[in-house]
Amino acid sequence: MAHAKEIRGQIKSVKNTQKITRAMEMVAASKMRRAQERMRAARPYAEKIRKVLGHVANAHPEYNHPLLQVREVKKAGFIVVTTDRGLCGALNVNVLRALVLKMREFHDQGVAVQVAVMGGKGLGFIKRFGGKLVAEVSGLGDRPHLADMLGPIQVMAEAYAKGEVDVVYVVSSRFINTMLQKATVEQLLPVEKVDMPARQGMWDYIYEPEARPVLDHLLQRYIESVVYQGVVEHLACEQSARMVAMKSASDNAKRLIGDLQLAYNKARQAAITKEIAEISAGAAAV
Amino acid sequence: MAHVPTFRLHVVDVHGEVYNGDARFVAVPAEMGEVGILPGHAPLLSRMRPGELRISQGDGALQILFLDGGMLEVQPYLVSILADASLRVPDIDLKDTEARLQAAQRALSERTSEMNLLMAEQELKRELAKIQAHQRYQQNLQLGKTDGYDWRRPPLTGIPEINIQDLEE
Repeated sequence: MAHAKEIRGQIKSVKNTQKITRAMEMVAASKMRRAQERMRAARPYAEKIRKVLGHVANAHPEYNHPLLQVREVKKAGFIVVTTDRGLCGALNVNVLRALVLKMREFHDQGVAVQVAVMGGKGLGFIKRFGGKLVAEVSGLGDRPHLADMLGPIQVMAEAYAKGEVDVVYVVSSRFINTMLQKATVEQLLPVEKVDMPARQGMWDYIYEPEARPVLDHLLQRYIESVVYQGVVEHLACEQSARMVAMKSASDNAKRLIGDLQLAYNKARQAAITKEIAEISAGAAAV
Repeated sequence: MAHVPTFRLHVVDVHGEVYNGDARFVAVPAEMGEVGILPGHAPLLSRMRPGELRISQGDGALQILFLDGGMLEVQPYLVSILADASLRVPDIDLKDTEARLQAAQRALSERTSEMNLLMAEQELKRELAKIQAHQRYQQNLQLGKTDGYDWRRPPLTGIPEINIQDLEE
């Protein structure tokens, strides 16, 4: 059995760790609330613009916008959203696993893949894992600004318009509730059609002022909004995943301390008993 | 009263949902001028400029709010408005608006960079539209017409509230 003093040292170190994890849990909890609010606020706009573009994809415009052309998939692009920091459970692992699965699927079909990454964790992974990295941005912080993430978005949109990729996906996590986040792979480009049973046949919008600027504007907003939504949602996921991970770490530390305390008490009692036995044996010998 | 035809109107801005319900008529500040939409309108896709949005709700009540540009999509019985920002007209801060207006005018007269010029121009349009909307509001107040200015943003919904205490056992 270990010496009582050693066990006391261990207890102390576990307690210190517990203090840290508990503090991180609290910080994540308060950040989470704000992140969730931001996410909730951004959601209706993102959903609506997706729907509007779904309608537009159904129309038969006189002007064929490069971002609306559907082509056979020979090259695929991914925008991957990950966190900058770790200690948030399986969040990044799940996202990267979803990415790898999709990449493997494309690989088997002989489709070339390129990746744009947001967040330090994804960047590190792609560098280790291999894969064509075309753009990256990290250090977005807790309050992401659209201007900071425009780089990768623009790179992918341009690649699509030029025909360098034939499909673009956004890989990020969807916030379901605090305990549950789901990694998702969503198609960004080409825009997926929304079923419109009410309108069949050839029809087109009246454009004001003209088709081209209107569609340019709409698509720009769409891409920005989808990616922004992805990032904001991922942030909310990050904070809640971290909170949950840190909570279970604190709980584990508590259990560990309990076990160690028991071992410590036993060791201490054993030492006292031994000492008494020695003394009484000595007294008997005299 | 005879049945009044309505259409579905959905207004969102980047901060959430603004209006989601039936409407008989809506006047939208489109880029080429104000557009009035009744049920059964032909499909229309347009940019918007900053200005007043006037909604005649399904029950006939009037709603007025200020939109800061965005996109308008019209389907015969569904109108979607994607605003960049929205604001209650009574909440327009005239002092702040004047200050921004002057700053924009200064930027325009100094002619710094192309980028700044474009931004200043947009700012100018927005602030002018704000002042107009506010003036109309004042006029209506004097006439005793306060209808439509009491718009409230609907509460955010969609994700269940999470109680942190529950998680702490």
